[in-house]
Amino acid sequence: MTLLRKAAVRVSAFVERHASADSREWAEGLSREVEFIDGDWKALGWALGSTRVLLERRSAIVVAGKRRWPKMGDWLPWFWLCSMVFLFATQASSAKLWQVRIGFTVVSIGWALITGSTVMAWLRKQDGPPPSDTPAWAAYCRARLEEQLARSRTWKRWSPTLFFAAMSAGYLLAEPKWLNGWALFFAVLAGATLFQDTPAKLESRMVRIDEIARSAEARKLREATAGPAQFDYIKTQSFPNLFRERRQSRRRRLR
Amino acid sequence: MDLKMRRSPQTTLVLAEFLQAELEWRYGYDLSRATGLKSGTLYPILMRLAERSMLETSWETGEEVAGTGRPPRHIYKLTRDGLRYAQTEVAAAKAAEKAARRPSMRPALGEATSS
Repeated sequence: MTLLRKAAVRVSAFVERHASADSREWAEGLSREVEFIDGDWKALGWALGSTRVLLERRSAIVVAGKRRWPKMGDWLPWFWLCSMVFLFATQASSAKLWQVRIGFTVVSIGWALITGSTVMAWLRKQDGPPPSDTPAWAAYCRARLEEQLARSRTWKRWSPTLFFAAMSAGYLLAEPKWLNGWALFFAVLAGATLFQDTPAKLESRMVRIDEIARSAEARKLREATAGPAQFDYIKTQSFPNLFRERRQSRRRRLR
Repeated sequence: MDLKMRRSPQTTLVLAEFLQAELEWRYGYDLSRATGLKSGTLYPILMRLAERSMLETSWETGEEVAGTGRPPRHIYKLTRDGLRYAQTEVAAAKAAEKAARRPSMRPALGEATSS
C-alpha cells in the first residue's frame, strides 16, 4: 500500500470514527469505497471529500432545526483564539533558542487545538434537539454521556490532562521563570481534569438524566395541555446546579 | 421539517443518473464517476434524498460479496417517491434548458417599428 493510499485509509477511518450516530452509516459507506478507487490521488481526494460528512451532523433522536450562522458574540472568542495561534506561531518562528522555539510551537499548536475544539463544540450544540422537547433532550444527553463514558474507560480519558500539562510545559520552555501565569493556569487545569469526568461521575449523571427523562415523560402524560417542561442540559452537567436542585427538593420535602 | 429538496444542478445530475438505471442498486463511487461530482458534494445530496425517503440505502449482502474477499459496499436506489420526484425534476430541468436555448421571439431593442 502506498503512502497516499495509507493516508486516504487513515482519513476515512477518522471520518468513520468521528461521524455522528446517524451519519455513521454514510461515513462507513464512503470509507468502503476508498478500496475500489483506482488512483491513489483520487482515493485521497475521495477521503478528504468525505470529511464533509462530519459537518452533516444530525442528532440521532431528532433532526434539529436549521443551523444558525454564528452571531458576533460567537465569532469574537474565535478571533481571539486565532490571534493567539498566530502570535505564538510568529514568536516560534522568530525565536533564536531551540527550547524557546519548541515551547512556542507547542503553545501555538495547543491554541490551534483549543480553537478547533470550540468550533466542534459549537457545531454539536447547534445540532441538539430543541430544549423544549425534554425527553428528546434527555435521550440526546444520555447518548453524549455514553460516548464520554466509553472514552473515559480508555487512555483517551487522560488526553485533556496530558494536553494541559503539555501546554504548561510549553509556556515554561518559552518563558522560563517561576511566576509564569499561563504555565500555572494550565498546570491547575491539568490537575483539575484528573478528577473531572471519571466513570463513576458520568454514571451518576446518566442516572440523573434517566430520572429527568422518566419524570418528563410522566409529566407529559399528566399535563398534556400544560406544554412541554423545560430542561436545561447544563443542569445535569454542572455539579453546583445539581446540588442546588437536591437542596431545593430536600427543602420542599421538609416543608 | 422541510421536505422540499433544494433544486440545484448537482441534485438534478444525480437524479438523472439514477434514472439511467431506475431499478438497479448503485455504488457511491460509480455515481461520482458518472456525474463528475466529488464525494463531498455527492454524499450530502444522497443523505438529503435518503432523509426525505426518496433514496433507499442498503449494504451488499453476503452472496454478492462471497468469494471476492472484500467488505460489503453501501448501495443506493431511488424509492417510488424518489423516482417520481426525479422524473419531474429532470423533465423540468430539460424544459428550462430548452427554453434557455430557444431564440427570443421578442424584437430586439430598436427593431420594433411603429405603424
